[in-house]
Amino acid sequence: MIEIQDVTYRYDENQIDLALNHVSLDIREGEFTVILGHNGSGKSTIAKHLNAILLPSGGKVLVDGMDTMEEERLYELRQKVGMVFQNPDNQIVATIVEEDAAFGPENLGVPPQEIRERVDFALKAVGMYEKRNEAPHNLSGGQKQRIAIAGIIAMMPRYLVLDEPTAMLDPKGRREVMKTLRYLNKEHGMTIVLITHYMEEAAQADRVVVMDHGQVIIDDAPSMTFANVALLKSVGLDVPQVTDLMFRLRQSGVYLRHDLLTIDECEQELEKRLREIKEG
Amino acid sequence: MEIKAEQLGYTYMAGGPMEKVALHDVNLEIKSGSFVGIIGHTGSGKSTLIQHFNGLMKPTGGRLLIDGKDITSKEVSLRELRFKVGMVFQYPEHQLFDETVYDDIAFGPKNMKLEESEIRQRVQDAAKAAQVDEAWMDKSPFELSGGQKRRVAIAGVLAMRPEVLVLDEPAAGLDPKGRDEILQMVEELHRQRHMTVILVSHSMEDIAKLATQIIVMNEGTVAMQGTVSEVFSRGDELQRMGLDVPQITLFVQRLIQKGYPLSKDIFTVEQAQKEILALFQKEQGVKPC
Repeated sequence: MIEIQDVTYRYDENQIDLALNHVSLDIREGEFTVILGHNGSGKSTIAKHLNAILLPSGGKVLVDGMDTMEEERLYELRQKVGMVFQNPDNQIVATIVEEDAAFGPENLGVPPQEIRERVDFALKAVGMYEKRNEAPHNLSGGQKQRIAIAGIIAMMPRYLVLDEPTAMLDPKGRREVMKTLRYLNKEHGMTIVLITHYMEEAAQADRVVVMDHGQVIIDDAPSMTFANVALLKSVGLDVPQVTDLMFRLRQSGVYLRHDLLTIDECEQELEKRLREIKEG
Repeated sequence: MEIKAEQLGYTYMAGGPMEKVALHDVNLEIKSGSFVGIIGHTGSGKSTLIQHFNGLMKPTGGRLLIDGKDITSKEVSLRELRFKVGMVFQYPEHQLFDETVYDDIAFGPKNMKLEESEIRQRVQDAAKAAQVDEAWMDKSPFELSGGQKRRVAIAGVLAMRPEVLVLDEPAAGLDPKGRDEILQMVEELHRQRHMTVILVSHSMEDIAKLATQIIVMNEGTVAMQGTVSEVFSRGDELQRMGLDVPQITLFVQRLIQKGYPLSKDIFTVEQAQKEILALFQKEQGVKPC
């Protein structure tokens, strides 16, 4: 478990606004958590606290009981909490795809046979196994990002933290990355913390945390989170288009349920209402 | 300014062992004053294609015509072409380099060897259009936030007063509010200044909201070209290419398939709301909550 206990953070001594303003949050093992918020809400700042890229100005962060302030255990901490960033170009180090994925485990001193297995597993998990002998610079942005994810997965972290990993991808790339994350979560029990702007991605999580002005303003299941359309819009966020449609129709006086997220659910609900009206 | 590609092809490292065909047999036409969305999966050739529009890349096969003239011919000055076709690359804020915001925006017009007063005028004008705050002018661009820096970078391109504005994923990495601001700015440039806009995006929703024409790239060539409604009516094909239609369009298409009388041309939530409300009204008046 990762415990964030009353954490405050200030980027600049002279700044009055806290980037994190007394945040407390537990990331439980096996959970798929999405953190939403507009730019500057503190969501990336939170992510960077999970593996000690940033250290709290106040409060503490415990990863499996280990305080991120303990400098001598930094290595152990970073092995437990793997981090993927937005821009794949800054995360790729090797000239061949599979060598890039092997970089992490090699540094950890994993035996060669096991490195092979881990690299194969990781590249298959992100759908890049066929490209294992290619040069990353010849691949597209989306493909490169999947390799960056594979490089982290090959280190077998217990917690996988991703800071807007799909921001540069096309719809297919996004779907594939989401599928990969759900697979790692469901089949391998990997705990996932995903920072994103995409509401469709948040809809697929177990839990959605919404940040605004350095504070957690919502921490709930996706269906409950998105029921709060007005609040989400007020903090500069989107909701899925169908959820927005239902919200607008409700505001126009059509009686509809408010906790619907997927296109299937909304279709059923709308049809039900239309039928009821027709039949009087 | 009209852009036309005829059997355009581009091969990276042609003849070498790493040869890679990025574009082949591309035929397209972009009319002056239009707003064209370009969609396609990553690696489909979008970025390679747009770099031909201002002569940053030259076709290895076929031709690219600007106002009927081949860009490789002597008649076309590449230098002038680059002023006429403004290119906003992905994450343009990474290209800021000057000491002050003003100098950064002025870099293009200075290169055009304009009079000092003209440069000043253009910088002010571009800053206004890109919603760059007057108060930032003497600041270092590196003191600004990500979204602010991006607007400065776009102002730098606008200061050259291009006729065509090409934007590669201008909203990537921005939050919904930042995205709406940038896209609204692009929309205004098109509407008020009649600029031709070419917008590359992965967001079908954004394209649906803004563009009038769509070019779909797939496997290095043009797979579809047409109006928003023509392209998004081919949802199955788009999905096979790793693309999508806006969620709201998909939703309405499903209702149409079930026999509800709705318009096929619905691409925004507002349109859907209007049509579905009308449907409810027709089916016996809206019941209050």
